[in-house]
Amino acid sequence: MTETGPPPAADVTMGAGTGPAGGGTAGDAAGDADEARAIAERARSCQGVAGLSGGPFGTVATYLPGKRLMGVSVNDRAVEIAIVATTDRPLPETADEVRRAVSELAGDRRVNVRIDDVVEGS
Amino acid sequence: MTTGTATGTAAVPAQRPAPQPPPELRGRTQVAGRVVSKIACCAAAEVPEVREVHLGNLPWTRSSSAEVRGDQAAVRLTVSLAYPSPLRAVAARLREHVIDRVATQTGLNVTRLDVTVTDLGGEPP
Repeated sequence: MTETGPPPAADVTMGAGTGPAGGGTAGDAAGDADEARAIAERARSCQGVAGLSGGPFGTVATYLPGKRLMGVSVNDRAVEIAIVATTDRPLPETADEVRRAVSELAGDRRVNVRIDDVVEGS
Repeated sequence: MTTGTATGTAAVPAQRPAPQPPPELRGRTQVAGRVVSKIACCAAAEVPEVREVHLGNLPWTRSSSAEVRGDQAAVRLTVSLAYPSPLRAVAARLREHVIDRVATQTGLNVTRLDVTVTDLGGEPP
């Protein structure tokens, strides 16, 4: 899989306002991996984001075949992103921008942003 | 839909689903303690009477740290101040400045800020 296009539309349409189905239909692994990669790409390109972080003890990660994608973890009810931010901008603004950037990929799911560390902003 | 009003039954329109909040408000923002600690130390160093802020990367040294619970933060700072300087007044100014800085940078309320002065010396500011 080399193309990192938008994820298949099958797993972004969820009924608004209703909780996720109890069964939790896991999308196919390839779709999940692409989605996580696309979300990581978007988050990295935001202003005020120096990079992605593994979260506390490397808990925020997606396991891809043969490697780990640190900093993004996706399931069917929430998207977790852990970032290293720069200090040249208030952190809530940075977090909101990350949320806005990945919102169309996340669909109706909540996007939780965790700021793990800061580095001097340029 | 019937338009008869004499029947005594009223048709209740279906409720609209609640509007979704804008995308940037869907989800939590968590700030790690070390982030607050770093910002507080940088802010403390900006006060002119503060000669040094002890970050304390080594576990057995006196250090500065921060703990975040929800939208509140508790911060401990260990500093050395210039001599002579009015300690209480400087501590009050330090507290005000650090709380202000942390609030604008992280959006967290500092509900507790302990200042430990471990050292005095150097030339007055």
